[in-house]
Amino acid sequence: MFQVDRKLILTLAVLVLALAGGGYLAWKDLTSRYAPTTEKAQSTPEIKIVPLPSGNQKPVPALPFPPEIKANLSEESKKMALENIKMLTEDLRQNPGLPGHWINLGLQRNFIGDFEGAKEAWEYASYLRPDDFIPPHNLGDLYTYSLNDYAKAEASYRKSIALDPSQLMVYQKLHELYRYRIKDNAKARAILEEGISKNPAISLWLEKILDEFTSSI
Amino acid sequence: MINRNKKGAANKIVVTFLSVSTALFLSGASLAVPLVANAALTESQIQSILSLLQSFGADTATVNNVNASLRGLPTVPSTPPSSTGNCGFTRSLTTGSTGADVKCLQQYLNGTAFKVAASGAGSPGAETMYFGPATKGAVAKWQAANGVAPAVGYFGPISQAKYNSLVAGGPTPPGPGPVPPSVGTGLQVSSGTQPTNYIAPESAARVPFTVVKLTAGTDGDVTVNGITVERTGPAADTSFDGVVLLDENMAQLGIAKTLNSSHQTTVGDPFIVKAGQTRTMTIAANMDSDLDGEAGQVASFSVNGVNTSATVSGSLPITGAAHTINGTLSIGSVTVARGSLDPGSSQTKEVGTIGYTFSAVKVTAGSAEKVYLTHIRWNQTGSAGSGDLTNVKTYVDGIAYDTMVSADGKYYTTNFPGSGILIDKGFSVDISIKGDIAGGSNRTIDFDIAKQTDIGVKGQTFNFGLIPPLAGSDPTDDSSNFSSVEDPYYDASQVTVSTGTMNVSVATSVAAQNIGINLANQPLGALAVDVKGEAISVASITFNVSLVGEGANDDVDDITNAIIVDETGAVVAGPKDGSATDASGNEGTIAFTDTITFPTGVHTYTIKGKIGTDIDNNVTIAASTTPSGWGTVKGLTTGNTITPSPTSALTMPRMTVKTGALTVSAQTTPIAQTVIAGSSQFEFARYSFDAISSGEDVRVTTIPLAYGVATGNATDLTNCKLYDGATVINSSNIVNPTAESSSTSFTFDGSGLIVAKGTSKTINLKCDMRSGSTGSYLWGLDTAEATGYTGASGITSGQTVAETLTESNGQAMTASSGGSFTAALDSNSPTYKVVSAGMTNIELARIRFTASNEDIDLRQVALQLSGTGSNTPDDLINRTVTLWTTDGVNIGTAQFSTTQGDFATSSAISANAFRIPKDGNKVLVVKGDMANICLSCDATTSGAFIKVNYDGENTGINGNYGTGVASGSNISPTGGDTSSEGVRVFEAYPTFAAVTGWQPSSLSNGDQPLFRFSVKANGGDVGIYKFTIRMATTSVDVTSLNMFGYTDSVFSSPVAGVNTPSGQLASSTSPLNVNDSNSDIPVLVNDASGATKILNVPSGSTYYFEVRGTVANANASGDSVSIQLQGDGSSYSGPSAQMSQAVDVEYFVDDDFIWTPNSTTTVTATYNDFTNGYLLPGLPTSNMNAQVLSR
Repeated sequence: MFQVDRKLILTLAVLVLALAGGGYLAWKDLTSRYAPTTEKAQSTPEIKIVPLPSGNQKPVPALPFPPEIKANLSEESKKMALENIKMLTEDLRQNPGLPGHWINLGLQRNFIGDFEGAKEAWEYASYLRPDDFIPPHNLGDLYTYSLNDYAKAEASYRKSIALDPSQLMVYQKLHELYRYRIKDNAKARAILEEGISKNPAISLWLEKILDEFTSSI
Repeated sequence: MINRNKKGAANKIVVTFLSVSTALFLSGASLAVPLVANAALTESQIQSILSLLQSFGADTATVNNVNASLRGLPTVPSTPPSSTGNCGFTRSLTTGSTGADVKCLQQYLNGTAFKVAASGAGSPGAETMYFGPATKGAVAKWQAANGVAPAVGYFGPISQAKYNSLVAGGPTPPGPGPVPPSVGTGLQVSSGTQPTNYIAPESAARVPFTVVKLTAGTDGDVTVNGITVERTGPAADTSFDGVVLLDENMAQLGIAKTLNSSHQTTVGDPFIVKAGQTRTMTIAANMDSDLDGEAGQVASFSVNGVNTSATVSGSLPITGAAHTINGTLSIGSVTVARGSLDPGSSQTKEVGTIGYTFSAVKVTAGSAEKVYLTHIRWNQTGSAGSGDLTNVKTYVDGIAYDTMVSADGKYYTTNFPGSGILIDKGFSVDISIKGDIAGGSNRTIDFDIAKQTDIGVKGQTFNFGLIPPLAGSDPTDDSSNFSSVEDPYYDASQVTVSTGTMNVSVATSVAAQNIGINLANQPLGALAVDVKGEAISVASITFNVSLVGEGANDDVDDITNAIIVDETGAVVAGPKDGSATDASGNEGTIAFTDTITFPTGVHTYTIKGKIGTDIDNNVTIAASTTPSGWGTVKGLTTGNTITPSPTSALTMPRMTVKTGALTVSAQTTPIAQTVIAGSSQFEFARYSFDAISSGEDVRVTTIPLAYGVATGNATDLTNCKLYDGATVINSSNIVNPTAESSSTSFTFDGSGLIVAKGTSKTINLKCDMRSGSTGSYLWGLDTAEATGYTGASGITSGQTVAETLTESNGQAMTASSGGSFTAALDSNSPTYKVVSAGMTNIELARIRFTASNEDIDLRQVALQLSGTGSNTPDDLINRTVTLWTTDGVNIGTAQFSTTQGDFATSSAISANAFRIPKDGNKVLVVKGDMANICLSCDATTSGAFIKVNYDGENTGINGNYGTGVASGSNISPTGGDTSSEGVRVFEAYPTFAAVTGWQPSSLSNGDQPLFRFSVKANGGDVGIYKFTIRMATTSVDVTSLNMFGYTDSVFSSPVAGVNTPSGQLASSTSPLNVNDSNSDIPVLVNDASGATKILNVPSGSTYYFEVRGTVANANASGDSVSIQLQGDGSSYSGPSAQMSQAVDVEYFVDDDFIWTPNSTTTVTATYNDFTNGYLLPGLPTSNMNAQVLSR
């Protein structure tokens, strides 16, 4: 006759529950990465589902909280950053169609050393506001100074300049990328000359940099 | 050797008897007696004897002597009568080598049967130090006789090991040189992959029958002298013209052999199986041209024996394919003829002839099939050696192919790539051999083709080898014709190498320079002598010598002991004295009458002499000679007279006679400066030791330097060292001054400081300065110290040279307890600009730090927000700015904390992260991330005017400070607060651009566009309240002036919601003062009712605007209308905020462009979210450039 082993049954039950719990957590993590979620984030209030922006095809980046602080920050800085990220996260979970918030979230993530998170935020901001030169500009800085991917930095700055050729400081930053990181003096000169030619009425600042650059090489 | 054939065994017995007898006869003292050649022995018998001797363990010398004796050659004494004993070679010798070891080698060779030359240079008693073609040839013969391979005349490690084994006493000293390869004792024979049974048609050459693999044991190389084969199977020997042995490349070894009555023969020349390696050899047959009678027979070839001294293992016989004799298949054929490039007759060519075609043949394919030319082997039967020829290549229809030269230099083989060169049916190719004649005077060059099979051809279709046919007769020797017999098959014309040449030029190795007085061997010039073809002897050489700048007693006679030396320093002529040829003595000659032998190649000869004391300082000497005038110049090989070139005089660089001299001076750098007390090895002075005017190199053993102490103690400086570059050159006498002195003596290490004549050296003086020193110290030179100074002497003469010490007090180096530095706004600090909220790394200020006395590391910096009524720290992300170097390295952050408010102290800056150079400056860049603006954000309104500045009042370790690199002290900078121009931060802002290219070619009357521009909204929606334009006219009237807005760049889609549906912005009631050309004309945006309105430009969108008017009286050339868009000259700042209601901005002094960044959700003119257009991108304060329309 079949003998029921109570210990075995108990063990199997615990195992089933653990697997179910793990699967749920995995599913939860996946959904949090690719769509707005109604799940209550840690320390955040209950929020409603808000539809994605019309025509949106790009998955909304994950909005985990609290984030891991990777930068060496003062306690005050940590506190400020966490409060801001919390506020932005709550707002964006309710309405992910706020490009300004995504930009700010990128700034805060960059501040705490979460460079990949900053990249995601600014790329999404750029998606929401494709004509805005600011997200690609910020991405250019991120790739230059934090991620050290100079090819992507160049491409980001170039995109920013294409969106607004009057932003002299982007020419300056691309110049510094060529000059100090890529060490291509020909390109460093060319980008200044390009900025000057495209902004003849306001190019004094770039002309000054060009003079200094010319005298230094 | 093994031989399964009975007759072979009988032969072995006979040969063994003969060989042992001979060996025993030769092995005693009778070796010294010349032996009579046994001309009756065949090659195979000789090889058998030699193999037997080897198998008995006879040494190499004995074997060689037996070999030479059997061939009628001179034997080699076991101990050569070298006059110098063992030469002790330490390098490889080859053509062009010079030196005593070459001479020793020649002496050794001349003591053997392989003499360098029978007479003249190189002959016994007249050995030279030059390794030329004659030496090379003698070495090659010696190598061949002593089993050194390849025997090409290169006397390298293998040859030297052989030499050491032959001469008495062995090598001196014994070294780890290469060991001659040991002789292997075992050889394994096995069957290879055999050819498939097939047919053997008429006239087919090299038809493969049997493949054998020969593997040598690991104890040494095995020499195989031949392979014995036997024709087997139901066939007749008459099917075969010959049997051949082919190697892995299907190249034939040895000649074709016919079968004896036992159907056997031994094929192949001796070849080597390397230790542990395997050779794969093929037995092949050349078929008879008529096989009608043998057709259908089936023949095979068995390998019965391997002729070697090693013990052969394996199973024999090995039998390969059984081919069926075929009498009907017509395979391809070729015909041969003299090539079109063949010289056709014998020639005489000079050494140095380039690109000469020695021989050429033409091969034509028959009609049966296309044929491949696979290889060609030329046989150089002339007396010239391979070293006499260079760049020898085979050419086929103009294309060059490399040649491989045999060890004896007599065969030049070219294997054509791939399957070979395809010759179409009925077509032909011209094959020639061409090269350069580099030497070999009086020798001959004769590129024959020895055998028919040396022209390798095979059919493309049937793939059988083909044999070029014999000619009908044996031609006259060396007439460039094919023969009816082989050896040679093609008898090419000869080249006789004629007399050598000599070309002389001025050598660059001895340049114009100073030469010393009363010193032997002073250089007077050098010649480069290029000899080709043969060594050349010159009986006399005369140099003409001229003196310039000489005094009454200066004569050419005063040049004595002149010599000519070669590159090794050996004296080849002289000494001779100069002889004046004119009354003044300034012209004369030096005549050398010693016979000089110039070997082939380019060699340099230097003329040296002693300059007598009668010749004054600064006299110059030039020597010249005319080579064509040299006496009795003859080629040593040909004995012919040679005229050296050129026929004009060669004048060597003019030398300047100089006495020994040295000038020491203190340089003006390093300049007087402050030194941090406690500094280590600070450079106090730099001295120049100048021997530019010296006739010889100068040695300086000591130098007196002047040490002055203006203030302080003499003992403040310690550990004073002189540096030649990075090397301390008085390490054994480091100076610790105890008192100021004009003669503080420094003694140089070793034999002293060497200053080459014609050069100068810079020496640095460095000392340590004691901590706490407060004085001023100088290092210079005292001219008076030259008196009695004997520390400098000529290296050659050993005489004390006249020196000059240039007076100098040196530069004062003043002690300081520490450095200092200042801070100020850098001239490249950014000017005012508008920026968008949300941007990273906005440059806010550049602060320049300048250090004095020492390098200073900035360790902390204090900042403050200026104009705090216009900003808050919250305008910066987390109230933080970042600190950078100008090249983009982040060195820290600074936070305007809630406790410090508008002030910030940076994080600690690492040592060396921001090092301000002594007496230089470094710029700190302050950047900030601009917080985005929203009601729930830290920054809630646009317009913040952020100015971050250096806080000059906060110094010390809680504020601004640095650390002196030398002193280690903490140093607070000086300098007040800076005043940066700052940035204005907006949630969104507009950028302006002129629209061009729309203008008509001429102004006309009537309603028309007068000015066009665009506005783009960046970072968010931008609302426009007011534009201002200004108009100037020339002789025209403009009425109904207004501005129109469009949403597209072609000005076809009017903006909605403004004064009129056509996009007119302002109502007709707007106060447009069109008659005042110098007045601003405001364009307030109105709605349809005429009320003010905000025109919204959506984020990222660009709107286009057009000023229109009705023009009248534009009738004459030069009539014009000029319109421009006005910018604002100063930034709006309201009474309580940076942003105000639109009407409040209108009351500001600069109100030409009024707009809102839409920082709030409510867009009305009454919300405090408006500002003016100060320095918005594209809208300068000097206004947008006017657009002018002219008649």
